Amino acid sequence: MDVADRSRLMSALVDRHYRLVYRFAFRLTGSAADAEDVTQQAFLIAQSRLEQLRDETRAGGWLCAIARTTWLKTLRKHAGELLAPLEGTDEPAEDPPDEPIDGERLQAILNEMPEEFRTPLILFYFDELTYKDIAEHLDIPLGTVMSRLARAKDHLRRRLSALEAVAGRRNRASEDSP
Amino acid sequence: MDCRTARDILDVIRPGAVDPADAEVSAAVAHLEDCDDCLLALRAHQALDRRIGRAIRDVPVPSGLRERLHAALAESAAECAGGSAETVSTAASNAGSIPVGAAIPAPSMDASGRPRRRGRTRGVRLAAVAAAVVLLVTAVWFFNREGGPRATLARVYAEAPLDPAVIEPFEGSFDPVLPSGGWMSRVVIAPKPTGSSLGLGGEHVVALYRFRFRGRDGAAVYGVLAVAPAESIDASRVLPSSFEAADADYPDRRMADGRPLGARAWSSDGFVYICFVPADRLDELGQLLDLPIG
Repeated sequence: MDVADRSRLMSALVDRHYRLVYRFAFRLTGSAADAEDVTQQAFLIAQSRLEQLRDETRAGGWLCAIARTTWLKTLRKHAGELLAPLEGTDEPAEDPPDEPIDGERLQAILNEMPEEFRTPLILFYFDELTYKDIAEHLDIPLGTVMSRLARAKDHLRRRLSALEAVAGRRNRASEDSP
Repeated sequence: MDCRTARDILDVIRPGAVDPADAEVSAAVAHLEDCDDCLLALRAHQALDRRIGRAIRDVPVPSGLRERLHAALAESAAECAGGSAETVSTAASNAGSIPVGAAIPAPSMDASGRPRRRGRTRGVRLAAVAAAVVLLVTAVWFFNREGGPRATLARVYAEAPLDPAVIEPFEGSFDPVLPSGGWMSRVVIAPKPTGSSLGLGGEHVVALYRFRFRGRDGAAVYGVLAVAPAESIDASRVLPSSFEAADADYPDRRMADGRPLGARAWSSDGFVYICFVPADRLDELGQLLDLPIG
């Protein structure tokens, strides 16, 4: 691939995937500034490793994996230890309402999760990778991905349901008050 | 297949993405045909998944991001073609890692949304180099044989190496711990420290972390955070317990552009921390860390 071809391909990758990578990075980092930095670094790294992209249809997942690696490199090595484990969460509400989920509430729950659970979860919901792709991109065994994804989804649902139940009770109480 | 296994398998597969060649998945799907409980549970989960998916993907993208990315890539490509060793291209070739002891890669755009220009890059680099040069004037004393302080705060101010080009992985007898508070979340800190014996020879007395934060003008501001065990530094005064503006010091070191270097020292959790940034950025860093500004 000559220089002009590389340039064209990178331009196309940016145009096609910059929103995805930024949104993924935002959910991963929880910060707009960090997300932008991570996005830029991810594309710069992608440019230097373009020959590793064998299948352009999977470029989104490839870029997200690079973004994730970029972010991990900037984290302190003990940061994960400060995050809450995925156990001991509240019980879910019976019937979650079909209303939009509060983005900040969602991000707060994501931020609680250890990174090894958060990343596959975000990738799953971005519809970008199957769990098999996630295993390949993150270089972890398939069974591990399935286990982490299942636990992370369960944790997220329970936390969301519990928070929504609390919010619902507050709303009802405010409506009942004179 | 039992209910638990079937639900676990189907829960991680998006609807419509079922691989019929996967025997386990096929068995789980077959289980649904005979188990209404699992079918209802799966439908409820998928309904919630759709809501979560919509919320997770609902992130506003900053305006001008695409243009800034194109500009950064073009700049990096041009630098690579020209054989330049810009920080950004170095970072790219290192797969996104921040090289041990090296400067944190400069962002290729400013926070105001404009593509970064080479002049700014050069300025930032000069500033970082200058900060490094300024820090080279700090002093520390070794421990004496009875275990007393090995260095003075003044020696740290005078001798701490600030030049990003001076890469010496930390090799000391202590495990450096970064300060708590906004340092965890509001500045970007290099994952691994460099080290320095502060010109005293022997093992490293201080660990040095390079960091960056966004200034009020949107520019990336670079600094160095030195960490040393409290018992190894003779501060000759009582240090505050956190980063405080009122305790600013101004070592006799300057940036390459002539701006003076500022420093703040504090002690907590058994460590002495000394933060170096351009003097005119000290207050900004304090505000960023959400600490009282004097």
